[in-house]
Amino acid sequence: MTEEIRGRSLWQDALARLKRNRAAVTALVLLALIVLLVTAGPWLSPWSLDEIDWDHISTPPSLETRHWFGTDSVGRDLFVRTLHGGRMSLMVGLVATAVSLVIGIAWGATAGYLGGRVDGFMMRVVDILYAMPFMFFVILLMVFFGRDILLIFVAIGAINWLDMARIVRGQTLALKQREFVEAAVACGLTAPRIIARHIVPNLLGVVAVYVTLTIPQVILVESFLSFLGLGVQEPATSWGALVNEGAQEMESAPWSLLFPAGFLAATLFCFNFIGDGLRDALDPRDR
Amino acid sequence: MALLEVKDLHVRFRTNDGEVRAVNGLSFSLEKGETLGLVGESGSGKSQAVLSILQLLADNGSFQGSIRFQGRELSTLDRKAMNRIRGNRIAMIFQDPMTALNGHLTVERQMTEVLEHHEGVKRREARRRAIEMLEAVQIPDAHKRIRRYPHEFSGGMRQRVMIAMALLCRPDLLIADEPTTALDVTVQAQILRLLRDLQQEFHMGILLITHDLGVVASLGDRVLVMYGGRTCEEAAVDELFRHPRHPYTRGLLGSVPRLDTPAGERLRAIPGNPPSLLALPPGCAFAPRCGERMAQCNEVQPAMREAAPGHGVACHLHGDGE
Amino acid sequence: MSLLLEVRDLEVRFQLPGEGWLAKPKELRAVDGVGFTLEAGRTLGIVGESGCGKSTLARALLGLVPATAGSVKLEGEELTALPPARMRLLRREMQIVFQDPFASLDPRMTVGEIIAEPLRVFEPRLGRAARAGRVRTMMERVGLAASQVNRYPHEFSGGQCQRIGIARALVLRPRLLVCDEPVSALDVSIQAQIVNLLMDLQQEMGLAMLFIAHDLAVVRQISHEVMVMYLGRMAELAPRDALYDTPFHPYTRALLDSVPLPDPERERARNAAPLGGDLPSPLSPPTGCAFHTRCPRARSRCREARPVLQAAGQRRQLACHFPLGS
Repeated sequence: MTEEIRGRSLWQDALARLKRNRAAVTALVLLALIVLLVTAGPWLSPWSLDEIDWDHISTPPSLETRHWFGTDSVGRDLFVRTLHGGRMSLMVGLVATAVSLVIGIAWGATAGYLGGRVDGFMMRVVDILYAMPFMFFVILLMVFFGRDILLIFVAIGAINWLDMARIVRGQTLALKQREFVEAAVACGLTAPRIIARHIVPNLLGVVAVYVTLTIPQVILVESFLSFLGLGVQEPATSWGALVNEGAQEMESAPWSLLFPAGFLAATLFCFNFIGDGLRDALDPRDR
Repeated sequence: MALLEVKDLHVRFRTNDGEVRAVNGLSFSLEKGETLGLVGESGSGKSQAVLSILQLLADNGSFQGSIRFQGRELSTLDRKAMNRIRGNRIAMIFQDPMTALNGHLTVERQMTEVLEHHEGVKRREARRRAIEMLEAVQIPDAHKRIRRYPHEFSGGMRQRVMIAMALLCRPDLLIADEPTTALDVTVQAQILRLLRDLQQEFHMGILLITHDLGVVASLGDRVLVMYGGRTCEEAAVDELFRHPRHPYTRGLLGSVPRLDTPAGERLRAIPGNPPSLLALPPGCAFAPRCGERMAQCNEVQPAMREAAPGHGVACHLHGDGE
Repeated sequence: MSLLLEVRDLEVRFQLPGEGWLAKPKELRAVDGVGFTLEAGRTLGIVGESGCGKSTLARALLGLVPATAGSVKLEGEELTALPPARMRLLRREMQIVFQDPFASLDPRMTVGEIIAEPLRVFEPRLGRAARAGRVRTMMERVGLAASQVNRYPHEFSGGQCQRIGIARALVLRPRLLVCDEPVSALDVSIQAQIVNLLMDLQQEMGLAMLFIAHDLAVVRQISHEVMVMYLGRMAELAPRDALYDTPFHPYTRALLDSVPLPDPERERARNAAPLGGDLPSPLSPPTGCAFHTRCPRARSRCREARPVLQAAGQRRQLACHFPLGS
């Protein structure tokens, strides 16, 4: 039997193109470093998340005190807090995005594929939810159920799926017209099977790009919630919460704003560059 | 002096997958009032060759070789000089009329613009000449229809409008790239007849690119068959169809179903696939698919030789005067 | 030879939104009264120009587009009002090959997965090895190397992709194969390969084929009977040789006269003027006979009354008031 040749899938092609994009690769490397740092970094420091160093309140960064990012107004080490904040922000970003992805794809692909009245109904639901004031909804949840971290994930995810659903529906409408979907119908496939095997895999490119935009968006939403005092509860912290605290100390202790804001900005930049690179890599223009 | 003379044209494209060698040493000449048909399938290089004449290649393309139009070298002209020639002395029509027509402007505006730009004609005179040309391409009610937009015309009519626009300045050379491929067969017949009549009237040279042997038999005076960016065979149209010599030409003629041969017999198909222009074989481009190949066909590219007066073949099976 | 497909008075109408706010929706009669029969092992060629409805007809037969009126019977079973579950089961008997070889293949799936898909749907209990074996056999049958099974569509040429489409369509050994312009997008030298392939497969498998194309010469090559359509209506239906040698309908004659022959001497000798006028829009077909606006033999009756499809000799049908030879 002759040996089977391995094919070169479109994803592999896209990956090759992405590797040639220097900005995207740099961003990927930087993001990987940030993730590594927030995951393993806190072990490097002798300080813990909520430990108060009474001798060094609001001190600038220094090597002797081993407060590499300085301390905040209460005396907690900012290096550890920044990294822990990173863990929280990134986790919120990923989990909330994952929630919105699952709901959004299922909703959007089904509405787009089935079309007609089902589509109309499903998208009207999206429109109505869209019109509802997000903050109001979240505040209500917070008031009723307390500032639970899980609740924040779900709340943010539950709002973001609307955008995802709209995008997925649009893509599905376009994909539905393509001949290979018609061929699948002619082969006797049922609608759920067509959606799962033909529509969704061909959406993932667009979804991937959109995810790189959603994650920063979600992180910023969490930051905003923190600003309102509705974010994660002490002693846990997030970049948004740190930025909020740091902004208040901006003139006297600029480092308490600089580090978390710097990390936040760098991360958002990275996601955006990666998203740009992905979009170019997946758009087969010079084929 | 020949109207158009191309010598040793090479066209290359830089792509992520490597260098695409679209045209590899193409040479031909075209006289005034003559129609030369460039016949080939996809990957033969015929479209890229003519785009390089007008310097219309994509950004990642480059060409070398000599292209002389009325004795003047075109390949070294700068953009301004080229612009004066395009649409004026050399015009081009395409498979899809919407390539040449702007959907947002009326036909009148587009046509008068050409005349105003190239010949400095005033608007009223330009309009008169535009209507005249639309009538020459047999568009009924030309003086009314000229105010319409391209999408308001049917497919065949749009093709006529494109032809009219191309002929406004009475070019000496018309390049037609698959002008009837996208048309229905009854409309195609009309356009072919129209092109024939217009050529007689305006006495221009036509460079006709097509894959359809019927079209080239209908319009062509001479035919050049291309494969893998090179010429296989070149002859007067009667001679080529009656005595095809190159195995590719013979294969092509044998594989096309015709209305005038017995039906139901199997077609004599050419086996294999068109060559990849990224990796052309060292010898004859057609060798992998040729039923008559010899050892040297895989190694040495055959040179163009005259097998009969006016009939050139690039094949190791055919030498001079065979 | 059993009667496999029986179509009668098939109509497909689309409602298009009217122009302007209060305008009534416009009706497009894409297929307007088509009827024919087809037996196993035979090919019916369908020719016509843009707007003639041949592609819509193909899709209506397979239920990919709903029929507005008329009947389509596959081995005696009426398809037009069938519940979706039953229709899905019948799909294994009728398959389709599309015009654009790349577009009809899912770019994210390998060739093997594409060909295996119908097997997964209709023979789910087939083991992986057995399924792979069927795929391999089919690939070789259509002229593809089995070693290519893990490649993706974009790595193949147009002709090879069309072979993949044919393999997918035939892997379940359907009785009927509808080919919608299967070679129009292919190079000339590849067209011949695919036409030969289809003819061989038909002989081998006893397929009934519906071959839709605009190229009259290709249709003549492969068909036993040919139907000519114009603006959704049948102009003429006849056995192949009868249609091409002695057409009765003026439109058929005009079509045949329009095709340029690969023979320069005969082309020069042809002096008949080509058919004038443009194809009318299917949205506003001419009154009476749809062809009367361009027909050289048209008279006042042609404008007033639509000609009825009638028998015109051995297995021939014709819709014309003043046919050729009368």
